[in-house]
Amino acid sequence: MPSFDPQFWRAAGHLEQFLKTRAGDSHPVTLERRSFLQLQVFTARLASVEQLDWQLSVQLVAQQLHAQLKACESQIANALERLTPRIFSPEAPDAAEIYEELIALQQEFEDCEVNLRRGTLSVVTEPVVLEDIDLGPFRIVLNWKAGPELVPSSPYTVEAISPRCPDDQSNITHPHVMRNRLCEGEATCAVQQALRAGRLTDFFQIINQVLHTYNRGSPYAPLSDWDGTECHACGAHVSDDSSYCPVCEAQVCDDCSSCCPHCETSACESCLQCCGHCDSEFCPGCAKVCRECEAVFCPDCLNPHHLCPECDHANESEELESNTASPPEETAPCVAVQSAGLGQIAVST
Amino acid sequence: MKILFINNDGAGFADHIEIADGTTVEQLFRKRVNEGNPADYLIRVNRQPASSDQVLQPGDRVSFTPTKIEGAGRT
Repeated sequence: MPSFDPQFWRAAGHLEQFLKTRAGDSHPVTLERRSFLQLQVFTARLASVEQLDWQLSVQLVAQQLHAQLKACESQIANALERLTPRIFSPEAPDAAEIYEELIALQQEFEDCEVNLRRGTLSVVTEPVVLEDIDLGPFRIVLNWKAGPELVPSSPYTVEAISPRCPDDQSNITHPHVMRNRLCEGEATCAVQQALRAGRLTDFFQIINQVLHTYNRGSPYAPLSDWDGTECHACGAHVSDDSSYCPVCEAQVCDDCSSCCPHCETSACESCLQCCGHCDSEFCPGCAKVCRECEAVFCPDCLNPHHLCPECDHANESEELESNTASPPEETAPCVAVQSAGLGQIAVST
Repeated sequence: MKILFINNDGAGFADHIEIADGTTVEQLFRKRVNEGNPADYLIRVNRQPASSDQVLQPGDRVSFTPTKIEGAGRT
């Protein structure tokens, strides 16, 4: 059981007031009566003109009704958004509950600090490393003196301890943080709910988890803007000292590059070819073309006469057949013709 | 028995739910997070880290917080 912390207790009192003020600061749920009456008018009018079969009027009234439905739809969506927290939100917690939250928060985050003068409660995260890019630790600061009129939805900031920004974007310290404001994305509702209910450990933990997650679909700046670039093959972030494919001159991650076993050159997987005979990989520099079938093989699978094993075997068989079918004295000219052919092919390749 | 269950995945609502006596943390997780992996969540009982075989008690406060939550930027 941790010893009583008077500073946390005083902070709990301030936070209790802060959360009660926020809870009472609900925006009113309003629907314009006139809009919905207008909806009824257009609906009735459409029915009339359709009955009369006035085609031009039907089109005109249908457009008016459509626009009015859209206006009402937007009002209903707004009302739902404001109503939902009222249905699900519990009462604001008292100081004792908030004190327990502060004690738990201290156990979750090593660096947890209350500043009564500034009216802040802050924690420092572990260093945030996203796809090998070290963005360092962040300080999440909840400001209970900020007041709902200043930052109604997010009375907190997310500050990089040692800011590391992409080139020319000094206000972005994290793919999802701009000007010390976190774009909560899919955490928006959970963050609001945790704060409204005074679940401070959840509030800070959720923000911490968002900071440790990269959503490549919607960042303020992609991770590739920090250092290095994207892997040409899979799109993952790669640092400047990652593998470089000398064939296509693209930067690739370790997973997407391999070493040619014949010359030990590193190349991306799309530039390495697979030998049709032994299945080993080889780079274009080591590729050998069979002079007979013109297929590409690794250097180990072509004989000194530039023949692949199959063509070599076929040639041997042919030679054997001609040797057994023809008298010995007639074989000599054949060999001479083949030798001449060999030379021609060598020149042409 | 009743416990306070907080699911920080999605909307993040807290709710008092009824569970059977002797329910463990793992059983509650399986019931509430259908295809989730416990390793992908911070699981707390009464604000403290909990083991999977911990038996829940009446009035416990259980929270599941996913470790991966996607933020945004461009809207």
